[in-house]
Amino acid sequence: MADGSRSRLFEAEDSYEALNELFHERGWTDGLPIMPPTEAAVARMLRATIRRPEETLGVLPPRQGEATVERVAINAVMAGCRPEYLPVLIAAVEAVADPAFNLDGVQATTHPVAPLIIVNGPAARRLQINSGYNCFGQGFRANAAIGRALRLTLMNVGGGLPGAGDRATQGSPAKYAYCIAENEDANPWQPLQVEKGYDRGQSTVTLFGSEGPHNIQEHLSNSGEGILLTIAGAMGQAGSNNILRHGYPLLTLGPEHAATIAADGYSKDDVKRFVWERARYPIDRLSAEFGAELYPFNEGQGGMALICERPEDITVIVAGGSGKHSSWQPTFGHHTRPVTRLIAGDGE
Amino acid sequence: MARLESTARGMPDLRLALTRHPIGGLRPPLVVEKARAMVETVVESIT
Repeated sequence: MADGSRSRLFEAEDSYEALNELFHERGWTDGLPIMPPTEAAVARMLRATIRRPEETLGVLPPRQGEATVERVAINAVMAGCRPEYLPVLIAAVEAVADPAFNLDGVQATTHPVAPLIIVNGPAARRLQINSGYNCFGQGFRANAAIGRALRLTLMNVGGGLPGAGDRATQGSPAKYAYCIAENEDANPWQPLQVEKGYDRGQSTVTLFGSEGPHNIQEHLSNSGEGILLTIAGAMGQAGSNNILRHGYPLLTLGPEHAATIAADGYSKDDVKRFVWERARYPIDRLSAEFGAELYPFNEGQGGMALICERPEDITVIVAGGSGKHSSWQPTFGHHTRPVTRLIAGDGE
Repeated sequence: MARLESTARGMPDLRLALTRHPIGGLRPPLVVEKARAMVETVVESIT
């Protein structure tokens, strides 16, 4: 890809408050204060990568902005990233720029879709990206700053501004920051990057265009089958884009649920098939006009609407701490596919 | 959104045919009514 232009410099009053007011007035923030992206701070950030500042990682719609390494680094500074987070962010930007991710649709849609970054491999542990207690929540700098930096990049480079390039009807808190690591130590099966063809020693990001987590609480069943029945019931709900148009839904098992399911002999593929066979919604419980839309996509399924075409279209990861909770992330239907990218410098 | 996209792609003066939101969820006769109202604008835009 051709090199992009270098970023412009702005002179501003040398005051943290004044700089933040300027950034708010110009619409360059997500509503929260930013760290000023001074020349010195951006230069420090850029030292964390061997990529050239003017190198274009991708073109981000709807503005068709060139996401150069330098522009990504600027947004990383603003979000509060430490320099060592930059390679993760670079891989995430490359992933969302992949046509399979369909950033055009993800940015502009009325659906509350947000790019979820899942980090696997040694980088996740080295950077202390939380994969345990409250991994989707607050309290961990790497999760918050990397997720926020991607959002700022999508706004400031891609033009995903609410009401303009981002037409989300209600949006989602996940659109502030949405980044976790997989809890590989608690995963009884292969971690995600190995399933995608990489080695355990390699670090990757996998991006999903998904809604925020939908919790699945299951404190009562003491068997894998029991837990999976509840999970399938939660995932086969009306109103998701996966019921509407299939696609690639994500199931995030809590470690205790994963351990119980695995102890009962289920492989990861077994989990996918079990859920695929049961996460279905009776079309005749929906309006006639909605049903008319669903029937052609679910021929031969006995009047049930599926969440995806095939078991292998479901991704299963393990994340979180102790407790009897899992979650699923409905995705933007068939309009987006998960995309995995290697994090440069980590087992490459 | 349409103007943002056309400008970003180097066509700031691209003629647009606009109809009011929404289309999704409307009963078919209303969609037909909206489509009929747009015909003249579309013809003007491409001829």
